[in-house]
Amino acid sequence: MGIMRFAPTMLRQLFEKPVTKNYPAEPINYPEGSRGHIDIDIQQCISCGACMINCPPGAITVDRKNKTWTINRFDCVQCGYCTRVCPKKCLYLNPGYQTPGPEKVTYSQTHIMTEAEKQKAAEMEARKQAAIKAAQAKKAAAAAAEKKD
Amino acid sequence: MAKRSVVPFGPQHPVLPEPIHLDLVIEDEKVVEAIPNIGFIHRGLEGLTDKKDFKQMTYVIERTCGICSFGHGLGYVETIEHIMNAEVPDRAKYLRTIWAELARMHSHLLWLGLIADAFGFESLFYQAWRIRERVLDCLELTTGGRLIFSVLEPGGVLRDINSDQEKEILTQLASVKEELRAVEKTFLLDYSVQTRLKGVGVITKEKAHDLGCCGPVARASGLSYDMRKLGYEAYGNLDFEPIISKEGDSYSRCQVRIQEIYQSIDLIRQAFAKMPEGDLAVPVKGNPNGEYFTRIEQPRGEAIYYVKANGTKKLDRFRLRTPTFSNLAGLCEMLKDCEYSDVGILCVTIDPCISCTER
Amino acid sequence: MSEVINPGNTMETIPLEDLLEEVMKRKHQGMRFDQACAAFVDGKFELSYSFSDDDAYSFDTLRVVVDDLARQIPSVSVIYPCASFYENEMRELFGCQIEMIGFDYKEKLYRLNVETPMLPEAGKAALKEALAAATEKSVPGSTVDAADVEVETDEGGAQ
Repeated sequence: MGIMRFAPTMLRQLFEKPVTKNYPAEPINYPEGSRGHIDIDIQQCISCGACMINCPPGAITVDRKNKTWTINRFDCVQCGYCTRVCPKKCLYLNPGYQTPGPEKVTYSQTHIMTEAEKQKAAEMEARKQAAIKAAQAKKAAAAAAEKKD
Repeated sequence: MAKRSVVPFGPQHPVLPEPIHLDLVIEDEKVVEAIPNIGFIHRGLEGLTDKKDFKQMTYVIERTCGICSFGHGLGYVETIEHIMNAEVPDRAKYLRTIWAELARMHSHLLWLGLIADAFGFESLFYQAWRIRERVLDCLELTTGGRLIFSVLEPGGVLRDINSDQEKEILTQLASVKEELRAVEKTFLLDYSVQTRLKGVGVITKEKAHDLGCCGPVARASGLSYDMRKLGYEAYGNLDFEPIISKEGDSYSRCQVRIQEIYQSIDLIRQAFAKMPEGDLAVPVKGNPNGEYFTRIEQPRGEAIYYVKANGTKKLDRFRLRTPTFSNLAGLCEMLKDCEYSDVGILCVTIDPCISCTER
Repeated sequence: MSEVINPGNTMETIPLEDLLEEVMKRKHQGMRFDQACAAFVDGKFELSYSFSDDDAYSFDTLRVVVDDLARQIPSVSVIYPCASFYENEMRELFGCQIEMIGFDYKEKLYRLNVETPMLPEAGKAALKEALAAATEKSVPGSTVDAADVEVETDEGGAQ
């Protein structure tokens, strides 16, 4: 039991520097590997949608047709699960938190196709069309054969 | 007989960190009976098992609560590993132990701040939280998050602690110990603090046992009941004994928690000394099938995790019994025959975490 | 190195009739009440009551499977008063018909908008049916009563 037990701590405090940082005059230094927000290297993205399916809060949407990757940063919980399930490893967790804002905005990136990719896509499309045509022709032939019978 | 009246207390009250409502039946200034009411922040996280698969649930469960986050993740992951017979690498076990103990330290330091605030000692509150900041810095350095770490997955851990970080943590722990020694004197020896804590809210050993109290509340009443004795993760290889106190009043609960901070520092040092090199995780393939109960010693006490899986990605049932849920009965017992002015302190002494309790 | 005490978990499935007796036995052994929870698996309630020992760290679970969803389940809060919270939770989230809970919150523990949120849709329908059947059985004869019961269940469905 004693009185004035806090006095030494308090007196020392008078001569010490403040423990808090003079933010925003001084910048915050996030340590390496701080989980702040998700970034994407969109040119690597193949729009597979694995991140969208696996995202626990459902913050990511992937538009396969337009090759757009969208994240609602206000829903994101920075768990980093998407960075681990991404087959291309093109998602990154970078330092720096989402700043608050007056309304919910989404962040989106569109994959711009290179010439080679365009060519490949066109080839795939042509092959697909050819396959459809072949299937239709086969069906028509089968129908015709059935009719004959 | 004096007139009885009912005073509603909470869910919004300056002393309460989280929303709990108490209907206090009061006779003059004495509380005769207290009826707790929860249910202000029920989010139905247990029910999410039918929407999320078992790997996503790891992240959902970690976010049940901001303070016991790591413990919840650990309990869930352990249960899944037990069902799937996954043998976690030794290094991962030690890393988990280190993070769990760091989480215990920051939780207890938070509580020390809150109790100081509850008995009206604002500067002491800031001193406790100043020390806590050092622990949070260690956690941010190693896991990337200050409160929610997201470093667990079924089968192991996702991040390693390298030697630079280890050195940083050990130096920070040394300063924590030194600073806590100074603040501890005020908590345990100061006259005005003692008058507020000693003999308030006594819960006897028998009562604590009957009402199913756990964690520091039970240990302050003399029950040597610490789930770390089960030897989960690396605790089996570390040297420690549960810290107990006999009186069972608010003062001994404070004492137990302060001693546990020192114990955690010691455990982290031991773990770093014994930590082997090796892998961080083993791959876990397939889906869980079976059921299991796991018990974990969280900062607030014993938490129970139950998983029932049916061989598909989605679990049949996940259940989380938090320490506060079992300490609620103890709280009602403490509040009987206490002074009205002590209700705030007593609510804080069980370290209520209503967010996890309601899930 | 400190001593590790880990006797492991045990689980025992018992019929509902023996529940109070088995719980009483554990109370006499000086075990603490650890938790109680319900699960809805394959159209049945699975209730688990867990007990543990302070010194031996044993963890003992009693499992009760209730086929008839409207079956009245006795409350163990007469033996362990602290079980009230768990039983209120079970009844509120799953709709188990636990009777005579020591401290009854009357389905207001969690202040939910939805009834029995943890039951899947099929379970909700089955529970309603079972409850209606049970009410009919308890009030034999009089067609007026039966009609009243039906109206009530319809309203419940609309909500």
